[in-house]
Amino acid sequence: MAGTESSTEPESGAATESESRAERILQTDGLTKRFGAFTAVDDVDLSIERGEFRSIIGPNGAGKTTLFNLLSGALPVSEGSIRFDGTDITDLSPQKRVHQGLGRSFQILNIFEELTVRENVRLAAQSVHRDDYGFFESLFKPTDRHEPINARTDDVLERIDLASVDEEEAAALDYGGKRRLEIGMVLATDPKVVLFDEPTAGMSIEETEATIDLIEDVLADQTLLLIEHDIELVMDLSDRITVLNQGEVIASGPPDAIAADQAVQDAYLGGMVE
Amino acid sequence: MSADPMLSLSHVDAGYGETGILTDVSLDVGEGEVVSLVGRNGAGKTTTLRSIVGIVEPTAGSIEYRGDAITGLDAVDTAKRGIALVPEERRIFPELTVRENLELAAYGGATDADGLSIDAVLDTFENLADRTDNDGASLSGGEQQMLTIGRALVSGADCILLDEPTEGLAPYIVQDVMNAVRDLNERGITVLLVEQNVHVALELADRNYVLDRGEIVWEGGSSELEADEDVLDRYLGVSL
Amino acid sequence: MVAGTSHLLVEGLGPAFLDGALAIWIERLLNGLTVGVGYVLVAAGLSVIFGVMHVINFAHGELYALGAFFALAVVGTLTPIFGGGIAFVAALLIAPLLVGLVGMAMERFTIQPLYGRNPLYHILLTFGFVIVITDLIKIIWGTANRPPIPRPDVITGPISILGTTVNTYSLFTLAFGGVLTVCVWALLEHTRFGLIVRAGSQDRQMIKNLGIDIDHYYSLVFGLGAALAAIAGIILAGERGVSPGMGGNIIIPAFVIVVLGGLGSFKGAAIGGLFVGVLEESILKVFFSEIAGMVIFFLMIGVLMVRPQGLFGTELEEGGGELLTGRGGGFLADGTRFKLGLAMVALLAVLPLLAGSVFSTYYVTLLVRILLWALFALSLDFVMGYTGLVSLGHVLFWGLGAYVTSVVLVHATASAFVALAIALALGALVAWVVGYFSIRVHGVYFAMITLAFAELFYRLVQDVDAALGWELTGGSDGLFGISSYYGIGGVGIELDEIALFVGPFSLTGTELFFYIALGALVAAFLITRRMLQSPFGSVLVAIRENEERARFLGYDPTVYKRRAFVVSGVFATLAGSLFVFEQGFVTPGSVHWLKSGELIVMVLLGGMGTLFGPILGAFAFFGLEEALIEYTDRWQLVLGTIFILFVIFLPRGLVSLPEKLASLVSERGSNEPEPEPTADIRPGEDD
Repeated sequence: MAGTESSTEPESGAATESESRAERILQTDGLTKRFGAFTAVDDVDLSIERGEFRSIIGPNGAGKTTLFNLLSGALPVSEGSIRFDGTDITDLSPQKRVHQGLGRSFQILNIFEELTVRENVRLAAQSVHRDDYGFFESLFKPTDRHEPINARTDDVLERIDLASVDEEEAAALDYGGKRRLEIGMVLATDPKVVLFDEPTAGMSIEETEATIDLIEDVLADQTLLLIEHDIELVMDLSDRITVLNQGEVIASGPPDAIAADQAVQDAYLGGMVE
Repeated sequence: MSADPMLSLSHVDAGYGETGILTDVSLDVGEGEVVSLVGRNGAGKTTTLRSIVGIVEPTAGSIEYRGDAITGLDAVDTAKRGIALVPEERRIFPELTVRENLELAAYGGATDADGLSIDAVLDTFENLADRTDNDGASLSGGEQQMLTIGRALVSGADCILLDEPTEGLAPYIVQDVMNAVRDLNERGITVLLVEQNVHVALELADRNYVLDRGEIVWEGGSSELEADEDVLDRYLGVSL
Repeated sequence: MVAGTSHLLVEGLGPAFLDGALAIWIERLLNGLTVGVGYVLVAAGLSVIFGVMHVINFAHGELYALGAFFALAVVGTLTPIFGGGIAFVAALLIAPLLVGLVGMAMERFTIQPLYGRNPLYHILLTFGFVIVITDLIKIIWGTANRPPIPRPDVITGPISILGTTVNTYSLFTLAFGGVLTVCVWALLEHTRFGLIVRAGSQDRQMIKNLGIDIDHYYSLVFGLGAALAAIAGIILAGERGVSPGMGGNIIIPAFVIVVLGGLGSFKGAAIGGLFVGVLEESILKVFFSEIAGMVIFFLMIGVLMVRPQGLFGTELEEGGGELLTGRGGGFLADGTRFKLGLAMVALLAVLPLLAGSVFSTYYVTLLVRILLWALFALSLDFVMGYTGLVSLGHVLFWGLGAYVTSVVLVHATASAFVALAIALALGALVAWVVGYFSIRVHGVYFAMITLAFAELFYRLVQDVDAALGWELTGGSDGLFGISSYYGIGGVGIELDEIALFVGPFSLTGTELFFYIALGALVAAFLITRRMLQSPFGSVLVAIRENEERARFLGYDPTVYKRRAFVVSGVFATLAGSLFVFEQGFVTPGSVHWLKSGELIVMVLLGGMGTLFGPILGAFAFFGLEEALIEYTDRWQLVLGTIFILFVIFLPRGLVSLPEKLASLVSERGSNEPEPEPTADIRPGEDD
């Protein structure tokens, strides 16, 4: 098997000088998830540097979303461990992982449809500031009277370009608007690492480009993991790409190395043309 | 496709509660055809099948089957008319045995036609024949899928709606399922196939519809779809 | 049990005594099994109905009672013609059939329209039937207890077997119940009907996809379950007689059994029924009679926590629609509503001034009762309407407030302030503990576990005196003549001893207390409303909207729900505590599960998830009672019927009436039914 990542073995493709010295913010070791007899994620070793833009690609059913569910705590792992920013988070609840700085977006739109746009973002910002409140404040102080949260909410609404519709119900936004709101909610939780599960699914080419620009713009300093089906897009954006097939990492490396990888070509296009 | 289609959707809108999922969906399936419906996650493929069998009631448009309007009929009525839905995740009865699963399908199903006998189905799917007294839950994914197809055969349906039959199956089992679908078709059964795996769809289908965000955005033969990189890339997320 | 046996062995002096011991054990076991068979028949129907239709049938106990009363009627009619023996056999055939038909009609006309709604609505609907059937029985057969129905001679009297004397009727019960259970088992396992029913309990939508009209089978299953319950009722009637309360007595043990065996499992109900029968009759009542009533609830709670699906059940997929709240029901604009609320409070505040002159002081007492129940209903709404936790045991907190207050006032100090402070602190603590254990289970299991906690407390207040050996709670009588003063350390006032003069009016006693109750309600309303606008409340709203999203913003839903549960528990405790200050007594009746049911009735009547709706609901409930009681003692029949109609046609409560009327007016002519969310359609599942 070509190029399974590990900290001791060089990647297939070119390893850069800085890489060995860079700080690893997210690391998995032998991560495995089984559903009955079916292994959805199989012995995956990932190693993500701080500030990296990493894309995860692979055919349908390769285990990409399951991998994200393991990283974010939506599913318990069967085997292996996850380290995040120096601590083992394998057994932490999803909400604790968010507190540590691990944010995620969902493949299927996931916002509070019946709340206002502002309230959606404000709830995310409040999560960061949850310790600012005393007991009585958290029970009785009206939500709109907390300046740091308001400021953060306003800032995020500006950046995702929804400030002008902030009092509308989220359900009233168009599809692109909802996607932007979702990104804004992730942004407002102030994550160190963001897991994006196909943030451009179902978007037109123009919307896709705008969304990717937005992600690059508002989250430029953060570490990003992106599941994406559009390979061209991924090639342009990513620092590194990890390719999954049937739950296993079959290749990992810089875009040009991935493009040239025979195993990737076989997995992606195999069965297509007889 | 010639003459009148066996199954026909015209300008169907459908959704759940207040959220619309399908907009103005029109498609035809001719008798004896295999037609695929492909598209990304959340495009509305399952909803289309559900509105045909009446799990979801269309808010606009009409659905005809063998010339009769079946819009708004419930799942029981459509099944009695000979349309069988094989839903995603297979939905076999986990605590009934293989034989009981098949018996149940024989009780129900099309009222005007007898399907295959249970023994004939067991002859066709040898794996199942060895496990007639096992609980449904103990079957592998591939065996479960064979059982759902077997159920449809026993029920006497002449139009089968398959929802993601290859999802989560190992590649060699995908081949088995594809063979089973071909076998269905050779018995004269019409198939409307929802697939995320475009390769499977292209291989099996005579014609294809591409669904994107609830709308039909493309239709045509498999070779045309294979050649249309723009459609593949834009709506299906596969580049060749 | 071990202790008991060794005791006998030590005392035993020879083989003759051992024979005696064996005989005693056989008799005990037979007693347990006889009771157990009755449980099996009731629980089997309850469980299968739940398994197939996901309906928790609270009226199952009433169907059981109905069986006994129908049998009474049949025997009464036929005995003059055929004699008692044959009449009994005829009753055993005819009455279950009739009850089966009643069950089928219930399912077809009231339950069927609710499929696809949250299972709560089935609980509410069948609770409505509890009220209705209980009252119908009282109207037709009166409220008196009846002696046992005469049985054929063959199954009457003692018989000697293996040197022991046993009751032939017990043997008949065992044999008849056993054969019946096996028949039902065979029906489910070996017939087409059974196959379809079993399949229906596993996947309702798929069986429709196969072209099988499961709806017809639902009626049959409900009828079958009702008939089994009726048979159990008749068998009991032949032994212990017939009483209007018999339905209420069996339903709670039946729930315990169904939970132990596994909701939906026939095998679980059969084994669980015999187990609980033997445990209660043969062991607990013999050796641990003081705590016998509590043990099964500990078991129930334990099973729900460790294995909510029970010993033989499979976990129910969380299907079901949402709870239908009254929000956005168009009940006046926010501003108008606020003004109207102020006006109502002002109007209420004036009323006591006029008592004694314009109208009877009785109405002040009545209003106090309504205000306290409104407070109680508000507390339930905070947790049910805003976090979706359907607590079937909220009476626990009312009862806790009432009992703790009473115990402190009677045994420690007459200071109302001290008693209230202790009650509220304990209320918060108990709510936290109950919340801690309960909130980890979902949906109907949560409803069941809260019911178990409340029943545990209901038993505790009755049994604790005997266990302790001195009077703490007054056992099944309760505590009476409790007085208190408003102050601390002996310095304070008693309401009855002072009078307040406002112009020409004087206020004393209950009239003064009225203002305390009104103040508590208004304060509770303002506090909870404010909380919902706070950071805490905003998270509750977020969790209700989309729990997964809230979790991935870093909020722990369990923690927030538990906090809401504590808030709710404290206000409910307050209501119960105030009740004692006014009434001066407490009885176990304050903790009866029927009160939890009535509370939910009020919340739903008004409209849940609105805070003000349940207050309206409490006024409507008692107002209705007051209006009807002038004409009939059996006002609950009317109330129950109205409630059933509400559940079916106006589930969002009174507050949604304006919207409903508007939509009726605009839709007149078109026959389109209002779309309700249904269980079989799960939007998230698409593709």
